[in-house]
Amino acid sequence: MASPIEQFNIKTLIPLDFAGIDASFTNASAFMVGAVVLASGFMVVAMRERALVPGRMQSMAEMAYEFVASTVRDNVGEEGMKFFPLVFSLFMFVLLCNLLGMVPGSFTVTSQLVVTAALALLVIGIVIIYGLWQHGLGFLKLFVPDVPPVLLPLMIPIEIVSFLARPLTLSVRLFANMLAGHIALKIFAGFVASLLAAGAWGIIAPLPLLLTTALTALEVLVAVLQAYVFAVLTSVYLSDAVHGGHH
Amino acid sequence: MSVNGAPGKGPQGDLTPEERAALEDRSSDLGRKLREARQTEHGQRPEAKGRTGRSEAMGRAMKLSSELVGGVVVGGAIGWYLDSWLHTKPWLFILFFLIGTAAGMRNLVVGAMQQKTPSTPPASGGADKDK
Repeated sequence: MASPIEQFNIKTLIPLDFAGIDASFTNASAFMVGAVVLASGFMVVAMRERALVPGRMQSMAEMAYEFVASTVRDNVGEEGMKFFPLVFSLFMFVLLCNLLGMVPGSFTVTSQLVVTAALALLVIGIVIIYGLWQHGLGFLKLFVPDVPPVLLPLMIPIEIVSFLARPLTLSVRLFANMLAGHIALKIFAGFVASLLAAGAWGIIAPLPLLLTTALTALEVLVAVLQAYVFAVLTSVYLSDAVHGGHH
Repeated sequence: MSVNGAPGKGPQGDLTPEERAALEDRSSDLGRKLREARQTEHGQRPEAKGRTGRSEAMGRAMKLSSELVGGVVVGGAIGWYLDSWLHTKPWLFILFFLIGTAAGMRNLVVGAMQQKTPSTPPASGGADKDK
């Protein structure tokens, strides 16, 4: 039975080297390109008709649009719609990466901490830069809660640490869910094979098979949910940048 | 438009009064649906909300479950790093571990409070969110 973490190995497909930096095109890069091509290809093809009464593909694309748009409107407000392209791209990218990872034998890009951390740092970087640009140093009021001044020396470090925890939770949540889910799937699927190979014990092999089937359904749900959670939290954090520290 | 117009008048002349009444009903029904759709266009659709409620709740659970851990880990990491930099082991680690725990709690509480009132009207732009 293959090791359950073998599926996360990075394999170099095309070796590239820029001034000593290893920038090889790996299987991770291939699946990222695949997710981007699929997401943009789907949107372009689905919206080609521009029918007033949408067909199947077009209503899927419109549902994705309205879903993300209402998430942004609920969390940031109408003025947050200028960030809609960002949130929608992130949502579609994470969703497609997660779902591509569910195809047997494929590689799950979002199970790599470096990918999810890059996405989370992009979000937090935009929040900080846009917040400072919009509100100047007033953005730092974000770290000053409405409490009696006596408590401020205690509350300000807490607020700063809780802000710093955001990129970590944002990236680790996605990465850990995908990693754990795929390891669990692989292990239970492996049980089926080893039970079948163990002679008489093969009679209970359908049990882990049933569990694997159920887990697969759960993993598809988790794949979609995690993309949704990523989009919601991106909007919640962007709301801080748009509205500044004063609530 | 009058419902009880005599048959034989106008372009719809060959409709019986019942058919015409049904047509009127349908068109006013359509008008009402259109008005409702326009009103909810920039807000959450109520029926969509109910359908996604369950998975939304699961998303929230996933979100909240990692908030506390995140705060503790980040606080601990900051304290650990400052300790090895300033040679104050283990005091800053202890201090920042506690601060991190408090920060995790704060994220948890703020997150839970936000979710109690998820349908803030978009006009207020989430200004009444957070604290």
